[in-house]
Amino acid sequence: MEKKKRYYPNFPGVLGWIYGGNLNFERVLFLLHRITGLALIFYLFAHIIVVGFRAYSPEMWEMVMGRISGHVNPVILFFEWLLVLAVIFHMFNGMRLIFLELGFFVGKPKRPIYPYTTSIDRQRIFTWIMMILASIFVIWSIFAFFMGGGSHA
Amino acid sequence: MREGRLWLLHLIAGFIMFFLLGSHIFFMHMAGGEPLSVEETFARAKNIAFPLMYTIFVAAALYHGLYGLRGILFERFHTPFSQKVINWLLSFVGIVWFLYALATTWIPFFK
Repeated sequence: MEKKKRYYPNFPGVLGWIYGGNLNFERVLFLLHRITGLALIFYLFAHIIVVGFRAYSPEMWEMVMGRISGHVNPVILFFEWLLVLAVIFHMFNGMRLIFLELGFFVGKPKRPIYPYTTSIDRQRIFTWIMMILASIFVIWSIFAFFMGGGSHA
Repeated sequence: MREGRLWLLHLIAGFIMFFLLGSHIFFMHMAGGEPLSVEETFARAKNIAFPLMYTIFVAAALYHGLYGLRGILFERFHTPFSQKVINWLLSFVGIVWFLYALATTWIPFFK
């Protein structure tokens, strides 16, 4: 019996996220969605642990927040803002993916008559709308973080 | 069919997160103001809507995130054994983190 291979023979690996296929707009969004998603899930683990200190040991919470809060360290504030950027992008791009995977904004099916059109062309307007909405929130976050006091919880 | 249901749950969790994570980021990180003391955060958690919302939020976030991570790992490790290990490992991690977060969320409410 033939032994199943441990990985696909043409598996491009993590670098294939970048070079596999056409590096078009959607591919860049795919790449950013993955990177931000991975960053957020690992941050979530750390965030849950740190917030837990507040319930289990308030003294430890005060001590930790005295060191790693964005209020006491501008470098941390900058990284907090980067995290909010990742959240905003992941949220709006994720909403775009949900709508597209459920078949919205891709147009009605057409017969493949030359010159062919792809659904990419039809969904790109929606993609731009979502990215513009995300950009508005990014601009807002700059004001909130660096001109209006930033985080408080 | 099972995979289809898990994927749909991933979408539903993502849709819920759009609103819950959006409000979390807005109220906790973009509304401004001075940092709250531990007592103030405990007082805030006395309203049952607060721990209830965060229970749903954490469950959705952990499921959505770990399912996404599972998809990425499955691209690399695709033998039935390795996928089984990944499933068990991520389920274990998700349940442990969820229980920890659950206690964190509800302790201030009952204190």
